Amino acid sequence: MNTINNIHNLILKKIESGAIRQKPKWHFVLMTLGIVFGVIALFLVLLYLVSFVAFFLREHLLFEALSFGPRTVFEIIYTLPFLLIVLVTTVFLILHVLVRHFAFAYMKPVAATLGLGLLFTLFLFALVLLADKESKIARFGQTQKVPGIEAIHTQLKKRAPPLTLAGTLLEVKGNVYKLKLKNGDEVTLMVSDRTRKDRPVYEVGDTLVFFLQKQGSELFVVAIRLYDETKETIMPPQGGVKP
Amino acid sequence: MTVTYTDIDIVRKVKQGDAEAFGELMNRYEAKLTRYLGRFLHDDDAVTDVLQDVLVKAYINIQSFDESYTFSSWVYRIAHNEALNVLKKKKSTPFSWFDPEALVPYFAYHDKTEENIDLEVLKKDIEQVLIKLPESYREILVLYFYEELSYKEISLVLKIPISSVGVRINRAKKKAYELVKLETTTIHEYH
Repeated sequence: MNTINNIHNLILKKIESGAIRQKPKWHFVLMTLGIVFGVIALFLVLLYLVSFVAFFLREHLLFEALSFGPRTVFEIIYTLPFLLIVLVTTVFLILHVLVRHFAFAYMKPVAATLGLGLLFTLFLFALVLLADKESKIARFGQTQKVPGIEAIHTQLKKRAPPLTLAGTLLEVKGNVYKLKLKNGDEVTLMVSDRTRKDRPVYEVGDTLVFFLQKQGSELFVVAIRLYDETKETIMPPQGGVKP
Repeated sequence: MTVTYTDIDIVRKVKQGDAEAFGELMNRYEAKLTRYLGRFLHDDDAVTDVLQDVLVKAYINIQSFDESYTFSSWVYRIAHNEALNVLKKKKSTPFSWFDPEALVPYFAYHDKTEENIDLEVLKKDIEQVLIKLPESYREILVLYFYEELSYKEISLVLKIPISSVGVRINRAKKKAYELVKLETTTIHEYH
């Protein structure tokens, strides 16, 4: 009881001397506004990053590449926008620090932050893909020349290896395929027995996608698939050839 | 004739800068908070420090107190936060993965077994095993049985749905009964 009295008197003395002061009401109003704007800003940043990743994956046909199995997984990992992943991780780390500091519940902050962050990102990812707006959101930073974001776009374009090549088949001679690309260039590609094909035979005029794998200074054709330009999607396989 | 002021009346005075009014608030809550922290933390040295922090924080942040809620739940919430900070520092892995009761609401139900048990006996039994209970169970039992907070007040202190309060109390009681039973058996075996 004596200790309580001491605390009581000590606090009253501190209040009277001005050592302890009440925070003004505007401080709490500003703090609430800051939190609200912070959450909105965080949401927008995450939406943008997720959209960009989705756009990047779709533009490089990486979703389709997954259907070729584990061989292409390495290539996908190689082409991942690591800069963005670092950025997202940084956002999560900031979140984690905030949760750790302010969480007063019976939960582990790391697990909670990562779990909720992952769930939230996946939800956002699915939403972005379903809404099919990823390219618009992702290109926003580039077209509006937002500082920093434009640089990310340029850097990523430089870093990304040409994993896929799409074009119209002009000629087939044995293992040699001649393609006309969208920009008018004509390229000749040699396939091997290890190349996976989704059809036994391709005909002149078919639009094909070649999936390439870099080994040293050479590119190897890992797989070929028929591409539907109107739907911008790869056709379902029919009697394909597996190595 | 003496006029009895409510907590909210006193809080209004404190908000206007009346330091003595805060003294009155301290008078009302010092003993309660000491008791709560003592049972929750089981560390007399820590209780004094935490109590001081709680009262100072309550004064500093009093302008943020929403008068549509009770002052008791607000001040217990501060005490809860400070106590958890102490527990966090004590343990490297203090709490379980996550608290599903905080996210998923349950239908509240009435526990009939409580009607048949003398509350004072129950309190005495639980007191013996409080220290052995997990923090989340220990705290809710302290708030409910010893501080006599309502479900609504507990839900405000712990920031969990009201419907989850009842469920957690019942789980905590069940766990406490198990421990009491175990202790009694052990004592009998010893003798």
